[in-house]
Amino acid sequence: MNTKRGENLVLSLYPTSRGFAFALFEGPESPVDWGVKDIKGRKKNSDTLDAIQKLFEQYEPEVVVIENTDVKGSRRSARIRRLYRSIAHLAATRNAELQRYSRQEIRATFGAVGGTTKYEIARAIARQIPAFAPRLPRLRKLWMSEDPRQSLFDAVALAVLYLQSAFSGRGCELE
Amino acid sequence: MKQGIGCYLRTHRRLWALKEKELAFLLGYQSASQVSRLEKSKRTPKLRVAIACQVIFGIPPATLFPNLYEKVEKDTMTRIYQFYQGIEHGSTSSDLRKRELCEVALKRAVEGSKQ
Repeated sequence: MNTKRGENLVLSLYPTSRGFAFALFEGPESPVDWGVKDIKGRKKNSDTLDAIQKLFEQYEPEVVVIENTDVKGSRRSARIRRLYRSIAHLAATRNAELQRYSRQEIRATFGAVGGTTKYEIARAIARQIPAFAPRLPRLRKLWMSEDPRQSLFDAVALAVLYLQSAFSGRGCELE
Repeated sequence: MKQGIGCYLRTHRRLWALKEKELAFLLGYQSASQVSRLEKSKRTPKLRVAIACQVIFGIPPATLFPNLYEKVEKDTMTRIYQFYQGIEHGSTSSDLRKRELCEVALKRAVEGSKQ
């Protein structure tokens, strides 16, 4: 875990209607920081960008991973799409490499370990990385709104996907 | 300037699902804010606390507080160099032994920086 500062850090971001979730990894199965930030008010996008900027300043990640909303079938709102464009711009100004993965790619990867729904993917992550197990939300019923903790697992899934492709062939496979 | 991760205490506390208050108790602190200041590198850990962290997480202070280690190493290496210059021309057996210590420390620092 004692790597050079700022190097090899992968930051994945998953904005939601209530804020955003982030996960910072140093390597496969090595989470460094993670959390869900609540953003309220009328200037959600600019407040979210300010919070993300602070993360950039604190950690200087090498790679930023976000969801690809340009693919057919993406159901993210216009505000979130605008926010993703701003994050991409922010990553470029900070000289961070940007990686984007669609929901389909996430489902295809986690499908190999029996994760097709968001909850199943979260459970697979909690199995793989025990640090996230205490944050696993309850199984959502039809009448329940999504647990805010779910967004954390969505962010982690993006980072895991990137790390798996970056470290493939070096013993980093989903179990 | 790159900041990166200067302290891994927050990471390891959260890896083990510990709250700041709980870690404060384990470290012998009075309040959670003292842990918070340590985690944000606003306070330098005392030797007792650094050892307690190693006892709790099994990770040496050099790994848990890389920024602090780097700073102490740099300052110490500067003093070692000054000390070495002072005994460079000494010919007694104790001077030779001290020079050997300085060279070993320098070699260790160089090897550590390569890793």
